[in-house]
Amino acid sequence: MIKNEFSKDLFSNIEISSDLQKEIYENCKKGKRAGDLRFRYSGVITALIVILIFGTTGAGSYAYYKSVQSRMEAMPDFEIKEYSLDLENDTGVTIDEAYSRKLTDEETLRMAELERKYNSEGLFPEGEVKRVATLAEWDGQSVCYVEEDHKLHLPEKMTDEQLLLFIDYQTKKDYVMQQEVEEMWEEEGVNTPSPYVDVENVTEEKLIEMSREPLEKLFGKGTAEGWEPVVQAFKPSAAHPEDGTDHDMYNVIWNQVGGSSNSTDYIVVYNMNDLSIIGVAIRGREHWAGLQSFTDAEAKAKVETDLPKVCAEIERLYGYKNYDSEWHEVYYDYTDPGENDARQTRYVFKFGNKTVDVMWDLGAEKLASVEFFDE
Amino acid sequence: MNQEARNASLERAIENYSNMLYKICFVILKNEQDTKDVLQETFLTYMTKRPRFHSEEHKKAWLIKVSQNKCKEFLRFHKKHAAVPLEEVEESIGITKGLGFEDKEKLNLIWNLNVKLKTVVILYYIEGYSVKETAAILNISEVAVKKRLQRAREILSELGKAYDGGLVCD
Repeated sequence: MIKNEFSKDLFSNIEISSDLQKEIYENCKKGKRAGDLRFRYSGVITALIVILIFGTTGAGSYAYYKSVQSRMEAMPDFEIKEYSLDLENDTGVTIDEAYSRKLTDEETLRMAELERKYNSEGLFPEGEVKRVATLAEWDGQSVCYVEEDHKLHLPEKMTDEQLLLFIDYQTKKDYVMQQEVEEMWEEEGVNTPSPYVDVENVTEEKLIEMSREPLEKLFGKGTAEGWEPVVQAFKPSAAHPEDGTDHDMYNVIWNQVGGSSNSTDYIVVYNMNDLSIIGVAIRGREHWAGLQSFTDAEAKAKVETDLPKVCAEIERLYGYKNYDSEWHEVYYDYTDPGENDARQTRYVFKFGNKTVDVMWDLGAEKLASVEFFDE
Repeated sequence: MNQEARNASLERAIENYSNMLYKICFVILKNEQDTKDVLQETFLTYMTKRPRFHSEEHKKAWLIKVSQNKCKEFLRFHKKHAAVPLEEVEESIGITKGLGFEDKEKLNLIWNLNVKLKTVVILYYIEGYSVKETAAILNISEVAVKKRLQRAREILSELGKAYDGGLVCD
Protein backbone atom coordinates (compact mmCIF):
# COMPACT_ATOMS: atom_id res chain seq x y z
CA MET A 1 0.00 0.00 0.00
CA ILE A 2 1.15 3.48 -0.77
CA LYS A 3 0.72 4.55 2.83
CA ASN A 4 3.47 2.22 3.90
CA GLU A 5 5.79 3.54 1.26
CA PHE A 6 5.95 7.04 2.66
CA SER A 7 7.62 7.86 5.87
CA LYS A 8 8.66 10.90 7.83
CA ASP A 9 12.22 10.08 6.83
CA LEU A 10 11.48 11.66 3.48
CA PHE A 11 11.51 15.01 5.23
CA SER A 12 14.36 14.23 7.57
CA ASN A 13 16.69 16.74 5.96
CA ILE A 14 14.24 19.57 6.27
CA GLU A 15 14.93 20.96 9.70
CA ILE A 16 14.38 24.28 11.33
CA SER A 17 17.56 25.83 12.65
CA SER A 18 17.87 26.72 16.30
CA ASP A 19 18.61 30.30 15.24
CA LEU A 20 15.31 30.49 13.41
CA GLN A 21 13.50 29.00 16.40
CA LYS A 22 15.02 31.69 18.59
CA GLU A 23 14.16 34.41 16.10
CA ILE A 24 10.54 33.30 15.91
CA TYR A 25 10.32 33.14 19.70
CA GLU A 26 11.78 36.61 20.16
CA ASN A 27 9.57 38.09 17.45
CA CYS A 28 6.39 36.49 18.78
CA LYS A 29 7.21 37.56 22.32
CA LYS A 30 7.34 41.14 21.08
CA GLY A 31 4.17 40.70 19.06
CA LYS A 32 6.07 41.32 15.87
CA ARG A 33 4.32 40.32 12.67
CA ALA A 34 6.01 38.52 9.82
CA GLY A 35 7.77 40.55 7.18
CA ASP A 36 5.12 39.94 4.56
CA LEU A 37 2.75 42.87 4.48
CA ARG A 38 -0.22 40.66 3.80
CA PHE A 39 0.01 39.46 7.35
CA ARG A 40 -0.03 42.94 8.73
CA TYR A 41 -3.65 43.70 8.11
CA SER A 42 -5.78 42.89 11.02
CA GLY A 43 -9.18 43.44 12.35
CA VAL A 44 -11.45 43.19 15.25
CA ILE A 45 -12.91 40.90 17.85
CA THR A 46 -10.11 38.45 18.28
CA ALA A 47 -10.94 36.77 21.51
CA LEU A 48 -14.48 35.67 20.87
CA ILE A 49 -13.67 32.78 18.59
CA VAL A 50 -11.48 31.24 21.24
CA ILE A 51 -14.02 31.79 23.93
CA LEU A 52 -16.82 30.32 21.88
CA ILE A 53 -14.91 27.29 20.75
CA PHE A 54 -12.69 26.48 23.62
CA GLY A 55 -13.99 28.00 26.75
CA THR A 56 -16.64 29.56 28.82
CA THR A 57 -14.74 32.44 30.28
CA GLY A 58 -16.77 35.27 31.67
CA ALA A 59 -17.45 37.66 28.84
CA GLY A 60 -18.19 35.09 26.20
CA SER A 61 -20.60 33.01 28.18
CA TYR A 62 -22.59 35.67 29.92
CA ALA A 63 -22.93 38.02 26.99
CA TYR A 64 -25.63 36.06 25.25
CA TYR A 65 -28.65 37.83 26.43
CA LYS A 66 -32.07 36.60 25.79
CA SER A 67 -33.01 38.86 22.90
CA VAL A 68 -29.75 38.11 21.15
CA GLN A 69 -30.21 34.41 21.66
CA SER A 70 -33.72 34.64 20.20
CA ARG A 71 -32.36 36.59 17.26
CA MET A 72 -29.78 33.92 16.60
CA GLU A 73 -32.25 31.08 16.89
CA ALA A 74 -34.65 32.85 14.55
CA MET A 75 -32.18 32.89 11.68
CA PRO A 76 -33.71 31.21 8.64
CA ASP A 77 -31.94 28.24 7.12
CA PHE A 78 -30.70 30.14 4.10
CA GLU A 79 -29.00 32.70 6.34
CA ILE A 80 -27.36 30.00 8.43
CA LYS A 81 -26.08 28.45 5.21
CA GLU A 82 -24.67 31.79 4.11
CA TYR A 83 -22.75 32.19 7.34
CA SER A 84 -21.65 28.59 7.21
CA LEU A 85 -20.28 29.19 3.73
CA ASP A 86 -18.56 32.37 4.89
CA LEU A 87 -16.88 30.36 7.63
CA GLU A 88 -15.82 27.70 5.20
CA ASN A 89 -14.35 30.32 2.90
CA ASP A 90 -12.45 32.20 5.55
CA THR A 91 -8.88 32.26 4.44
CA GLY A 92 -7.50 32.72 7.92
CA VAL A 93 -8.15 30.69 10.98
CA THR A 94 -8.88 33.75 13.06
CA ILE A 95 -11.94 35.88 12.58
CA ASP A 96 -9.99 39.11 12.53
CA GLU A 97 -8.58 38.11 9.20
CA ALA A 98 -11.98 38.22 7.58
CA TYR A 99 -12.33 41.99 7.22
CA SER A 100 -11.02 44.45 4.70
CA ARG A 101 -9.51 46.74 7.29
CA LYS A 102 -8.85 47.14 10.97
CA LEU A 103 -11.30 49.19 12.99
CA THR A 104 -9.98 52.52 14.18
CA ASP A 105 -9.67 53.10 17.91
CA GLU A 106 -12.61 55.49 17.71
CA GLU A 107 -14.72 52.82 16.00
CA THR A 108 -13.63 50.23 18.54
CA LEU A 109 -14.79 52.45 21.38
CA ARG A 110 -18.08 53.19 19.64
CA MET A 111 -18.53 49.52 18.83
CA ALA A 112 -18.04 48.54 22.47
CA GLU A 113 -20.78 50.98 23.44
CA LEU A 114 -23.11 49.69 20.72
CA GLU A 115 -22.37 46.09 21.67
CA ARG A 116 -23.62 46.78 25.17
CA LYS A 117 -26.86 48.10 23.70
CA TYR A 118 -27.04 45.20 21.25
CA ASN A 119 -26.64 42.68 24.05
CA SER A 120 -28.65 44.22 26.81
CA GLU A 121 -31.18 46.48 25.12
CA GLY A 122 -31.85 44.62 21.91
CA LEU A 123 -30.56 47.43 19.72
CA PHE A 124 -30.21 45.67 16.38
CA PRO A 125 -29.43 47.05 12.92
CA GLU A 126 -32.37 47.94 10.74
CA GLY A 127 -30.82 46.53 7.60
CA GLU A 128 -28.76 43.55 6.52
CA VAL A 129 -25.18 43.19 5.38
CA LYS A 130 -25.09 43.42 1.59
CA ARG A 131 -23.69 40.56 -0.41
CA VAL A 132 -22.11 40.88 -3.83
CA ALA A 133 -20.19 38.51 -6.04
CA THR A 134 -17.26 40.70 -7.01
CA LEU A 135 -15.35 43.56 -5.48
CA ALA A 136 -16.23 45.70 -8.49
CA GLU A 137 -19.87 45.52 -7.41
CA TRP A 138 -19.21 46.97 -3.98
CA ASP A 139 -20.15 50.64 -3.74
CA GLY A 140 -17.41 51.42 -1.23
CA GLN A 141 -19.95 53.02 1.10
CA SER A 142 -21.69 50.00 2.63
CA VAL A 143 -20.78 47.12 4.88
CA CYS A 144 -20.66 44.39 2.29
CA TYR A 145 -19.61 40.76 2.03
CA VAL A 146 -17.73 40.13 -1.20
CA GLU A 147 -17.81 36.54 -2.33
CA GLU A 148 -14.84 37.01 -4.60
CA ASP A 149 -12.37 37.47 -1.78
CA HIS A 150 -14.52 36.14 1.08
CA LYS A 151 -14.16 39.28 3.14
CA LEU A 152 -16.48 41.68 4.83
CA HIS A 153 -15.64 45.05 3.32
CA LEU A 154 -15.96 48.10 5.49
CA PRO A 155 -16.39 51.68 4.30
CA GLU A 156 -13.79 54.27 5.21
CA LYS A 157 -15.92 55.59 8.06
CA MET A 158 -18.73 53.65 9.68
CA THR A 159 -21.99 55.04 11.01
CA ASP A 160 -23.61 53.54 14.10
CA GLU A 161 -26.00 51.58 11.89
CA GLN A 162 -23.04 50.17 9.97
CA LEU A 163 -21.26 49.26 13.18
CA LEU A 164 -24.42 47.48 14.31
CA LEU A 165 -24.45 45.59 11.01
CA PHE A 166 -20.87 44.65 11.68
CA ILE A 167 -21.68 43.48 15.22
CA ASP A 168 -24.70 41.57 14.01
CA TYR A 169 -22.76 39.90 11.22
CA GLN A 170 -20.04 38.83 13.62
CA THR A 171 -22.43 37.63 16.30
CA LYS A 172 -24.37 35.52 13.80
CA LYS A 173 -21.23 34.11 12.28
CA ASP A 174 -19.90 33.18 15.70
CA TYR A 175 -23.21 31.61 16.60
CA VAL A 176 -23.22 29.46 13.45
CA MET A 177 -19.62 28.49 14.08
CA GLN A 178 -20.38 27.55 17.65
CA GLN A 179 -23.26 25.36 16.51
CA GLU A 180 -21.11 23.66 13.90
CA VAL A 181 -18.25 23.04 16.29
CA GLU A 182 -20.58 21.60 18.90
CA GLU A 183 -22.18 19.33 16.32
CA MET A 184 -18.80 18.24 15.03
CA TRP A 185 -17.47 17.49 18.48
CA GLU A 186 -20.64 15.68 19.40
CA GLU A 187 -20.36 13.52 16.28
CA GLU A 188 -16.72 12.81 16.97
CA GLY A 189 -17.33 12.16 20.62
CA VAL A 190 -14.88 14.84 21.67
CA ASN A 191 -15.01 15.34 25.37
CA THR A 192 -13.46 18.62 26.37
CA PRO A 193 -12.50 18.61 30.00
CA SER A 194 -13.30 21.89 31.65
CA PRO A 195 -10.39 23.73 33.20
CA TYR A 196 -12.73 25.00 35.86
CA VAL A 197 -13.18 23.32 39.19
CA ASP A 198 -15.34 23.93 42.21
CA VAL A 199 -14.51 26.72 44.59
CA GLU A 200 -13.06 25.22 47.74
CA ASN A 201 -11.81 26.66 51.04
CA VAL A 202 -13.74 29.88 50.36
CA THR A 203 -17.08 30.91 48.84
CA GLU A 204 -17.74 32.79 45.62
CA GLU A 205 -19.41 35.54 47.61
CA LYS A 206 -16.32 35.95 49.76
CA LEU A 207 -14.05 36.11 46.72
CA ILE A 208 -16.26 38.75 45.10
CA GLU A 209 -16.21 40.80 48.26
CA MET A 210 -12.46 40.41 48.60
CA SER A 211 -11.90 41.63 45.05
CA ARG A 212 -13.47 45.04 45.61
CA GLU A 213 -10.66 46.42 47.72
CA PRO A 214 -7.75 45.79 45.30
CA LEU A 215 -9.80 47.26 42.46
CA GLU A 216 -10.60 50.37 44.46
CA LYS A 217 -6.97 50.62 45.48
CA LEU A 218 -5.43 50.33 42.01
CA PHE A 219 -8.07 51.86 39.79
CA GLY A 220 -10.30 53.78 42.17
CA LYS A 221 -12.93 51.57 40.66
CA GLY A 222 -16.28 51.12 42.28
CA THR A 223 -18.15 48.02 41.23
CA ALA A 224 -21.52 48.68 42.74
CA GLU A 225 -23.47 49.48 39.61
CA GLY A 226 -23.20 48.42 35.99
CA TRP A 227 -20.80 45.59 36.74
CA GLU A 228 -21.34 41.95 37.36
CA PRO A 229 -18.75 39.57 38.77
CA VAL A 230 -17.91 36.09 37.56
CA VAL A 231 -15.81 33.75 39.66
CA GLN A 232 -13.64 31.12 38.04
CA ALA A 233 -11.86 28.43 39.94
CA PHE A 234 -9.13 27.82 37.44
CA LYS A 235 -6.94 24.82 37.80
CA PRO A 236 -4.88 24.46 34.64
CA SER A 237 -2.71 21.80 36.18
CA ALA A 238 -5.60 19.38 35.81
CA ALA A 239 -6.93 20.18 32.37
CA HIS A 240 -4.09 22.05 30.72
CA PRO A 241 -0.80 20.54 31.74
CA GLU A 242 0.99 22.72 29.22
CA ASP A 243 0.17 25.72 31.37
CA GLY A 244 2.17 24.38 34.27
CA THR A 245 1.17 23.47 37.75
CA ASP A 246 1.83 26.64 39.63
CA HIS A 247 -1.10 28.69 38.54
CA ASP A 248 -4.00 27.21 40.34
CA MET A 249 -6.05 30.27 40.94
CA TYR A 250 -9.33 31.94 41.54
CA ASN A 251 -10.24 34.63 39.05
CA VAL A 252 -12.80 37.26 39.89
CA ILE A 253 -13.75 39.06 36.69
CA TRP A 254 -15.88 42.16 36.74
CA ASN A 255 -17.76 42.44 33.46
CA GLN A 256 -19.83 45.31 32.25
CA VAL A 257 -23.52 44.57 32.10
CA GLY A 258 -24.24 43.93 28.42
CA GLY A 259 -20.55 43.85 27.58
CA SER A 260 -18.83 41.59 25.12
CA SER A 261 -15.38 40.09 24.86
CA ASN A 262 -14.26 43.47 23.48
CA SER A 263 -15.41 45.41 26.49
CA THR A 264 -13.22 46.67 29.25
CA ASP A 265 -13.24 44.37 32.24
CA TYR A 266 -11.31 44.02 35.48
CA ILE A 267 -9.76 40.92 36.92
CA VAL A 268 -8.46 40.08 40.37
CA VAL A 269 -6.56 36.81 40.72
CA TYR A 270 -6.02 34.90 43.96
CA ASN A 271 -3.80 31.98 44.80
CA MET A 272 -6.11 29.02 45.25
CA ASN A 273 -4.19 27.65 48.18
CA ASP A 274 -3.62 30.59 50.49
CA LEU A 275 -5.89 33.25 48.94
CA SER A 276 -2.96 35.62 48.53
CA ILE A 277 -3.40 38.07 45.69
CA ILE A 278 -1.61 37.21 42.44
CA GLY A 279 -2.75 40.00 40.20
CA VAL A 280 -5.05 42.90 39.44
CA ALA A 281 -5.60 44.19 35.94
CA ILE A 282 -7.77 46.16 33.58
CA ARG A 283 -8.25 44.43 30.23
CA GLY A 284 -10.16 44.44 26.98
CA ARG A 285 -9.91 45.87 23.51
CA GLU A 286 -12.13 48.75 24.47
CA HIS A 287 -9.66 49.74 27.17
CA TRP A 288 -6.75 49.34 24.79
CA ALA A 289 -8.41 51.49 22.13
CA GLY A 290 -8.73 54.32 24.63
CA LEU A 291 -5.01 54.41 25.40
CA GLN A 292 -2.79 57.07 23.93
CA SER A 293 -0.40 55.99 21.18
CA PHE A 294 3.30 56.70 21.21
CA THR A 295 6.06 56.18 18.69
CA ASP A 296 8.64 53.57 19.44
CA ALA A 297 11.24 56.25 20.22
CA GLU A 298 8.86 58.18 22.49
CA ALA A 299 7.92 55.02 24.35
CA LYS A 300 11.54 53.99 24.86
CA ALA A 301 12.38 57.43 26.20
CA LYS A 302 9.40 57.32 28.54
CA VAL A 303 10.41 53.92 29.86
CA GLU A 304 13.38 55.61 31.49
CA THR A 305 11.72 58.83 32.59
CA ASP A 306 8.64 57.07 33.97
CA LEU A 307 10.61 54.55 36.01
CA PRO A 308 10.69 56.71 39.18
CA LYS A 309 6.93 57.28 38.85
CA VAL A 310 6.30 53.55 38.52
CA CYS A 311 8.44 52.85 41.58
CA ALA A 312 6.64 55.53 43.56
CA GLU A 313 3.27 54.02 42.67
CA ILE A 314 4.36 50.53 43.68
CA GLU A 315 5.67 51.82 46.98
CA ARG A 316 2.57 53.94 47.64
CA LEU A 317 0.13 51.16 46.83
CA TYR A 318 1.95 48.02 47.92
CA GLY A 319 4.84 49.11 50.10
CA TYR A 320 7.67 47.68 47.97
CA LYS A 321 10.73 49.89 47.64
CA ASN A 322 14.40 49.73 46.66
CA TYR A 323 14.25 46.98 44.11
CA ASP A 324 17.16 44.57 43.65
CA SER A 325 16.78 44.42 39.90
CA GLU A 326 14.56 45.73 37.15
CA TRP A 327 13.98 45.16 33.45
CA HIS A 328 11.41 46.58 31.08
CA GLU A 329 9.98 46.38 27.61
CA VAL A 330 7.63 48.38 25.41
CA TYR A 331 4.20 46.97 24.61
CA TYR A 332 2.45 47.67 21.34
CA ASP A 333 -1.09 47.17 20.22
CA TYR A 334 -0.62 43.64 18.91
CA THR A 335 -2.97 44.24 16.02
CA ASP A 336 -0.57 46.83 14.69
CA PRO A 337 2.82 46.35 16.26
CA GLY A 338 4.56 49.01 14.25
CA GLU A 339 6.71 51.90 15.27
CA ASN A 340 3.89 54.28 16.10
CA ASP A 341 1.57 52.42 18.35
CA ALA A 342 3.20 51.83 21.70
CA ARG A 343 0.59 52.04 24.45
CA GLN A 344 2.08 50.47 27.54
CA THR A 345 5.37 49.47 29.06
CA ARG A 346 6.07 46.50 31.24
CA TYR A 347 8.39 46.60 34.22
CA VAL A 348 9.51 43.57 36.19
CA PHE A 349 11.04 44.26 39.59
CA LYS A 350 12.71 41.92 42.04
CA PHE A 351 12.29 42.78 45.69
CA GLY A 352 14.12 40.01 47.51
CA ASN A 353 12.29 36.80 46.66
CA LYS A 354 9.23 38.68 45.40
CA THR A 355 8.73 39.56 41.74
CA VAL A 356 6.41 42.43 40.93
CA ASP A 357 5.38 42.52 37.29
CA VAL A 358 3.48 45.63 36.20
CA MET A 359 2.02 47.18 33.07
CA TRP A 360 2.26 50.94 32.90
CA ASP A 361 -0.18 53.05 30.92
CA LEU A 362 2.16 55.41 29.06
CA GLY A 363 -0.44 58.08 28.37
CA ALA A 364 -2.24 58.25 31.70
CA GLU A 365 0.95 57.43 33.60
CA LYS A 366 -0.67 54.96 35.91
CA LEU A 367 -0.53 51.24 36.54
CA ALA A 368 -2.70 49.08 34.29
CA SER A 369 -1.90 45.80 35.99
CA VAL A 370 0.12 44.41 38.86
CA GLU A 371 1.15 40.79 39.38
CA PHE A 372 3.03 39.30 42.31
CA PHE A 373 5.11 36.15 42.31
CA ASP A 374 7.33 34.41 44.81
CA GLU A 375 10.63 32.90 43.78
CA MET B 1 -1.44 33.21 33.03
CA ASN B 2 1.20 35.90 33.51
CA GLN B 3 3.57 37.06 30.83
CA GLU B 4 6.40 34.81 31.94
CA ALA B 5 4.16 31.77 31.86
CA ARG B 6 2.83 32.80 28.45
CA ASN B 7 6.36 33.15 27.14
CA ALA B 8 7.28 29.78 28.60
CA SER B 9 4.23 28.23 26.96
CA LEU B 10 5.23 29.81 23.64
CA GLU B 11 8.79 28.58 24.00
CA ARG B 12 7.58 25.03 24.66
CA ALA B 13 5.25 25.15 21.68
CA ILE B 14 8.06 26.34 19.40
CA GLU B 15 10.42 23.73 20.79
CA ASN B 16 7.91 20.91 20.38
CA TYR B 17 6.20 21.78 17.11
CA SER B 18 8.22 24.24 15.04
CA ASN B 19 10.27 21.54 13.37
CA MET B 20 7.20 19.56 12.37
CA LEU B 21 5.46 22.69 11.07
CA TYR B 22 8.60 23.77 9.28
CA LYS B 23 8.80 20.48 7.38
CA ILE B 24 5.16 20.60 6.32
CA CYS B 25 5.13 24.27 5.37
CA PHE B 26 8.46 24.10 3.59
CA VAL B 27 7.29 21.29 1.36
CA ILE B 28 4.10 23.19 0.61
CA LEU B 29 5.57 26.66 0.10
CA LYS B 30 8.83 25.49 -1.38
CA ASN B 31 10.91 28.36 -0.09
CA GLU B 32 12.47 29.22 3.21
CA GLN B 33 11.46 32.86 3.64
CA ASP B 34 7.74 32.22 3.21
CA THR B 35 8.00 29.23 5.53
CA LYS B 36 9.59 31.40 8.17
CA ASP B 37 6.87 34.03 7.80
CA VAL B 38 4.13 31.43 8.08
CA LEU B 39 5.67 29.94 11.20
CA GLN B 40 6.05 33.33 12.82
CA GLU B 41 2.42 34.19 12.09
CA THR B 42 1.30 30.80 13.34
CA PHE B 43 3.06 31.11 16.67
CA LEU B 44 2.03 34.74 16.99
CA THR B 45 -1.57 33.57 16.61
CA TYR B 46 -0.89 30.98 19.29
CA MET B 47 0.55 33.68 21.54
CA THR B 48 -2.18 36.26 21.03
CA LYS B 49 -5.24 34.01 20.92
CA ARG B 50 -4.10 31.77 23.72
CA PRO B 51 -6.53 29.00 22.82
CA ARG B 52 -7.17 26.26 25.32
CA PHE B 53 -6.41 22.72 24.37
CA HIS B 54 -7.70 19.52 25.80
CA SER B 55 -4.61 17.56 24.81
CA GLU B 56 -1.23 17.87 23.16
CA GLU B 57 -2.72 16.26 20.06
CA HIS B 58 -5.36 18.95 20.00
CA LYS B 59 -2.67 21.60 20.24
CA LYS B 60 -0.65 20.00 17.46
CA ALA B 61 -3.68 19.77 15.18
CA TRP B 62 -4.58 23.39 15.93
CA LEU B 63 -1.10 24.59 15.04
CA ILE B 64 -1.15 22.62 11.80
CA LYS B 65 -4.55 24.04 10.99
CA VAL B 66 -3.41 27.60 11.59
CA SER B 67 -0.23 27.11 9.58
CA GLN B 68 -2.15 25.56 6.70
CA ASN B 69 -4.51 28.49 6.57
CA LYS B 70 -1.55 30.83 6.56
CA CYS B 71 0.03 28.82 3.73
CA LYS B 72 -3.23 28.98 1.83
CA GLU B 73 -3.31 32.75 2.20
CA PHE B 74 0.23 33.00 0.97
CA LEU B 75 -0.41 30.96 -2.08
CA ARG B 76 -3.71 32.57 -2.84
CA PHE B 77 -2.83 36.22 -2.56
CA HIS B 78 0.85 36.92 -2.48
CA LYS B 79 3.22 34.59 -4.04
CA LYS B 80 5.98 36.66 -2.58
CA HIS B 81 8.84 34.35 -3.28
CA ALA B 82 9.01 32.03 -6.21
CA ALA B 83 8.80 28.35 -5.46
CA VAL B 84 12.20 26.78 -5.67
CA PRO B 85 12.70 23.60 -7.68
CA LEU B 86 13.75 20.61 -5.65
CA GLU B 87 17.12 20.52 -7.41
CA GLU B 88 17.95 24.00 -6.12
CA VAL B 89 16.87 23.15 -2.59
CA GLU B 90 19.00 20.05 -2.88
CA GLU B 91 21.98 22.26 -3.63
CA SER B 92 21.33 24.74 -0.84
CA ILE B 93 20.19 22.57 2.06
CA GLY B 94 20.77 19.03 0.88
CA ILE B 95 17.12 18.11 1.15
CA THR B 96 17.62 14.64 -0.31
CA LYS B 97 20.96 13.99 1.33
CA GLY B 98 21.21 10.42 2.54
CA LEU B 99 17.97 9.36 0.88
CA GLY B 100 17.91 6.35 -1.41
CA PHE B 101 16.98 6.68 -5.05
CA GLU B 102 13.36 5.68 -4.49
CA ASP B 103 12.88 8.04 -1.60
CA LYS B 104 14.38 10.86 -3.63
CA GLU B 105 11.86 10.18 -6.35
CA LYS B 106 9.00 10.00 -3.86
CA LEU B 107 10.00 13.33 -2.42
CA ASN B 108 10.23 14.77 -5.88
CA LEU B 109 6.72 13.53 -6.64
CA ILE B 110 5.28 15.07 -3.51
CA TRP B 111 7.24 18.29 -4.05
CA ASN B 112 5.63 18.78 -7.44
CA LEU B 113 2.08 17.85 -6.52
CA ASN B 114 -0.68 20.42 -6.66
CA VAL B 115 -0.85 22.22 -3.31
CA LYS B 116 -4.30 20.95 -2.35
CA LEU B 117 -3.29 17.38 -3.01
CA LYS B 118 0.08 17.83 -1.40
CA THR B 119 -1.39 19.10 1.86
CA VAL B 120 -3.68 16.12 2.16
CA VAL B 121 -0.89 13.71 1.28
CA ILE B 122 1.40 15.17 3.92
CA LEU B 123 -1.17 15.10 6.68
CA TYR B 124 -2.51 11.66 5.83
CA TYR B 125 0.59 9.81 4.75
CA ILE B 126 3.41 11.59 6.50
CA GLU B 127 1.81 12.87 9.70
CA GLY B 128 -0.49 9.87 9.97
CA TYR B 129 -3.78 11.65 10.47
CA SER B 130 -6.97 9.82 9.58
CA VAL B 131 -9.32 11.03 6.86
CA LYS B 132 -11.60 12.48 9.51
CA GLU B 133 -8.77 14.26 11.31
CA THR B 134 -7.34 15.57 8.05
CA ALA B 135 -10.77 16.89 7.11
CA ALA B 136 -11.11 18.65 10.46
CA ILE B 137 -7.66 20.22 10.24
CA LEU B 138 -8.18 21.51 6.72
CA ASN B 139 -11.80 22.42 7.31
CA ILE B 140 -12.99 20.41 4.34
CA SER B 141 -15.33 17.46 4.12
CA GLU B 142 -14.18 13.88 4.49
CA VAL B 143 -15.39 13.26 0.96
CA ALA B 144 -13.09 16.03 -0.25
CA VAL B 145 -10.16 14.44 1.58
CA LYS B 146 -10.90 11.07 0.05
CA LYS B 147 -11.21 12.58 -3.42
CA ARG B 148 -7.92 14.42 -3.06
CA LEU B 149 -6.17 11.33 -1.75
CA GLN B 150 -7.53 9.31 -4.63
CA ARG B 151 -6.39 11.91 -7.14
CA ALA B 152 -2.97 12.13 -5.49
CA ARG B 153 -2.67 8.35 -5.59
CA GLU B 154 -3.51 8.36 -9.28
CA ILE B 155 -0.95 11.02 -10.06
CA LEU B 156 1.72 9.46 -7.89
CA SER B 157 1.01 6.11 -9.40
CA GLU B 158 1.21 7.43 -12.95
CA LEU B 159 4.42 9.25 -12.21
CA GLY B 160 5.81 6.49 -10.08
CA LYS B 161 5.34 3.85 -12.74
CA ALA B 162 8.04 5.55 -14.70
CA TYR B 163 10.54 4.29 -12.20
CA ASP B 164 11.67 0.84 -11.34
CA GLY B 165 9.90 -0.40 -8.26
CA GLY B 166 7.31 2.31 -8.81
CA LEU B 167 4.64 3.15 -6.31
CA VAL B 168 1.89 0.62 -6.07
CA CYS B 169 -1.43 2.04 -5.12
CA ASP B 170 -4.24 0.28 -3.39
